[in-house]
Formats: sequence, C-alpha cells, structure tokens
Amino acid sequence: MKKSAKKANVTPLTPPAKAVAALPPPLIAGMFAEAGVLLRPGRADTIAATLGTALAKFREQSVRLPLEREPGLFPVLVAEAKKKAKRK
Amino acid sequence: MKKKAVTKTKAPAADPALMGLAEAARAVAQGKVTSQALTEACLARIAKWQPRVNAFLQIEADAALKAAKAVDRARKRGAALGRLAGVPLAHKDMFYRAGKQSSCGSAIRRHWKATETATALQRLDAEGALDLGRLNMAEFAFNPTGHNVHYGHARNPWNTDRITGGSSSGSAAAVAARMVFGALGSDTGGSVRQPSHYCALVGMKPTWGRVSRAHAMPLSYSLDTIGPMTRRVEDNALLMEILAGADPLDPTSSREPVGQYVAAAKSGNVRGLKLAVPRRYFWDKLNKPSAECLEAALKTFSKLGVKIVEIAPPDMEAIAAACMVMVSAETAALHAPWMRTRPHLYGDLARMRLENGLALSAVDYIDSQRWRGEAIAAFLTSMGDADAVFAPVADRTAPGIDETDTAGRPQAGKIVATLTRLNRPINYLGLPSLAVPAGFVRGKMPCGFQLIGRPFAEAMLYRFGGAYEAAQPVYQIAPV
Repeated sequence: MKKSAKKANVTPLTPPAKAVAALPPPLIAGMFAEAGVLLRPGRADTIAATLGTALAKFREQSVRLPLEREPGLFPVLVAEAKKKAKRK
Repeated sequence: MKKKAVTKTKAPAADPALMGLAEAARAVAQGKVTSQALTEACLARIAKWQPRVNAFLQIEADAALKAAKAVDRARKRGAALGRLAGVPLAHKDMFYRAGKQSSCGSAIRRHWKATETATALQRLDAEGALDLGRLNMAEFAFNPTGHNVHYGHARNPWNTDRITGGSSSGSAAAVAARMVFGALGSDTGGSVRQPSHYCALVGMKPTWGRVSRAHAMPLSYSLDTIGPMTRRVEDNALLMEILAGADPLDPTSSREPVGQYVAAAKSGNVRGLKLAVPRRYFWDKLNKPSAECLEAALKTFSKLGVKIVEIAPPDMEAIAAACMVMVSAETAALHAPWMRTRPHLYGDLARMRLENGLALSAVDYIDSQRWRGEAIAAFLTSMGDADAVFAPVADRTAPGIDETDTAGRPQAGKIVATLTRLNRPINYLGLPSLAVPAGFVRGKMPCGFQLIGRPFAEAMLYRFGGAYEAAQPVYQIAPV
C-alpha cells in the first residue's frame, strides 16, 4: 500500500486498464430494457456518441464536486438575504 | 414549397396591425382606434400570411371579434380598461385554457382538452388582451428548428425557406409577420431567444421562477421558463410586468419584487453602464457576417456611453453539458410512460431527443443539480462589476428548413445539435436573458444579440434593450 493512501485511510483502487466510454452502447441497451422502452436499431450508438460526449465533459466537472450542501440556485441572493437578516 | 421572394420595406403606418403592442393598447384606450379595427387588421394579416408561414394551429376569429366589440363598448361606456384591453395576441399551444384543446404540437395530445387555464393566460386575460388562437410549436417544445411533422413546419416570414427556430416557432412567425402584437413562448434551452433572433423579435427568457408556470406544459422542471415575444422592447417589458410575480399555484415562482420594466425600457439612458463581452465560447463558432453585425451593435452601445469590457467566462462547455444532462433526464422522466406505450406517435426528432435521458444515471442527474449553484456563482463572478453580458444568440442567421430536416438528411442532426449551444448554458444558470434584434445580416436575414443579467435583473436588460432600439429601430422594417 502506498504511504499516501495509508495516511488517508483509504484502500487504493485499481484503475481500469483502459478508459471506459461515458455511455457504452450495451449499457444504454440495458437501461432501455429496464425502462421498458423499445430501442431502435442503431440508436444506442447514436446516443453513446451524442449524449456520451456531453456526459464525459460534464463528469470532468462533477468529479470535483465537494461533499457539501449545494449553495442554492442564486447564491448571490442568498448572501444578500443573510446580510439583511444580520442587519436586523 | 416554392421559394418566394421576400423583401423588406418600411412599414406603412396606415395598417393598424403594424403598430407596436403598447402603442396599440394606448390607441384603443384613447379611442384613436377600435379593438375591432385592430382585430380585423390582424385577421387580414393572418389571411395573407398563414398560408405562407403556418403560424396558427387554430384561429379563433369569431370569438376574438366578439371580445373586441365588447372592449369597444366598454370604452364607450367609460369603463376602466386593462393595460392590454382589446389588443390581439396568440400563444404557443402549450398554455392551457380550460375547455380548449392544447396539442403541445404533438399527435399524442391532438384532441386533449385542458381543465385549467394557465396563470400566464389568466394574467393577460385580466388586462383585457384578446386571444386570436393557438400557435404552432415544436412537438412537446423539444426541438430548436420549428419542424413539426404532425401540423406542418412553421416558416420564417423573412424567407419562407428558412426555419423560424424553435420551439416557439408559431409565436415567432405570427409576431414577425404582424399577425398578432405579441405572443407567449417558453424557453427551456433557447426556445424564446433563438426564434426571436431568427425572426427579428424581442424575446425575454426571464429568471427561473420569475413567471408562473402553472398549467403550462412542463418539459423540464429545473429549466422551463415562460417569456413574451414582441417586436419592440417596450411591448415586451409591458407583457413581463403583467406576467411576472409570485403565484400560489406554482410553488417555484419567486416572491422577489417585480421591477419597473416599462419605465426601464423607456428610460433610454445607459450612459456609464458597463456591458461584459465573453469572447471565449460565445464567439468561437460565430460566422463572419453575424460577427460583423454584433460588432456594429457593440459600437452602437459605445456611442450611447456604455463601457464595453471583455471578460473570461467559466467553462461554458461544461455548463452546456450539465444542462444537457439535466434536460435529458427530466424530459425522459416526464415522457417515459408514453414512450413505453405510444412511441410510434412521436415524431422522429422529438423521440430521438427524448430517448437520450433514459440512458442517464440518477447520480449524473443529481450531480447536474449539485453543481448548479456553484456554476451560477462562477458566471456571476466572471461578470465583475458589469451590469449585463452581451453575447450572440446563435452562431449564424436562420438556416434552411431542408438543411435542418433530420428526416431528410442524416447530417442535419449535427446542425440541429449546435443551434442552441449559446442559449442552453443560460437556462442552466437560471439567469434572465433578453434577445434583441441587432439588424440584418448583409441586408437579408435578421440577426440579434442576447443581454444576460444577474438574477431578477430583467429591468436592467430592458434598459439596455430599449436604449439600443431607440438608436437602431429594427422593428420599423417589416417582412412583405
């Protein structure tokens, strides 16, 4: 076990041998089957190409999300409301 | 359809249908024109334009004329009139009216009748507006082109071979062709702003929660907004003043005070204000003629005394991707029951787009919600002390109907996917954005810009928009 992992009290994970697509077509087929929706021929590949690209891009961001409550839709307004409440 | 030559001309003042909405309302209130005359003028425009642009799904001529005559009688009696008394409007066919059909542009709801009336319609009714009928739209408000395989495609009055944009396609065609004075649209990923840009209209996508969505067709809970489409900024501001505000029927509607939008639109003074220009992402794929048009618009703002500052926005590609995750998941959840039982009733484009969300995990969807506040904060921080952001609405002017027909051309899907790339991120951020006509690209097709504001800063956007319009009155040119 690496020293840094011991220090953080976590078990290191084995990374996958190669990068997995954000939405592999077989996974899409499974999700459609689970939802009970007919998946037409070729659609899994199209969805993998279009939505998969967006999802991969989004996941680059979402993996950095902290373990905290979300700041709310309009944090600026929330901050102003807090200021007003303090003044009172 | 045969290509018809569409040229532009200065609108003759003799036709009352060519007035602005607020101007028409004032004229009725002052007895300078009757509501009946306004309605008949609109019906004459409909007779001329409907066969060419397919804006209406249903025209309620008799009911509107009856209501118009009632307004005229009330005025003669000296009764108090609402702010929209006797002014003919029409709306996207997704705003429910009790006892009336609301197809939502779909075959599935072709014969469906609503049991409640949308709050947005109730507020317009309460001010005396007339309703001339139901307007065409993209199926379930889920495509950005205006194609509709069930009711026929809406066509752009500036060139009937071009798309209107969508999903508020009928609203754009009807207002641009002067068939009505204004219309409601909905904007989940650009559906008010993008058709406004393509058809030389003013379109407001308000702050999320600013306008009640009660009894309007849902598409995406987290992203749907309702906004007006008009030819002039003051008209748009007037409709927004009436539409905005809390509604007990919509728990997501905000209690933030409603601004003085009309006064802001008419103030004309923007000297000393600051506009932020985010070149990265927004200008990346902008074509040359549109870029030239927007540079000219920025020069106009400079001449008006506005300070122009360049800013570096946050990662807009990631924000657009987060929006796609959110909208795909929410729309699929709403439509899953019909997609299981009646998939054949969906048009191909709507079905393709709705299917995407079934391939998403709950974790991805929830993460798209979790990141939202942080993304909004990052965008607002990037604005610095600017009063609004100036950006293109689309990378180009309206593309062709054939060029974007996914049924006819496999390549069209790629074009369609890019149409709302400059709008979607703003829906994710929940911020208000006003599309304003900038002018015409190489003298032919309309080109607009969007002004993006801080939460609930619609008044500031109307202030900028009104000042620009006073300097560049694009509305004076009508399609013929």
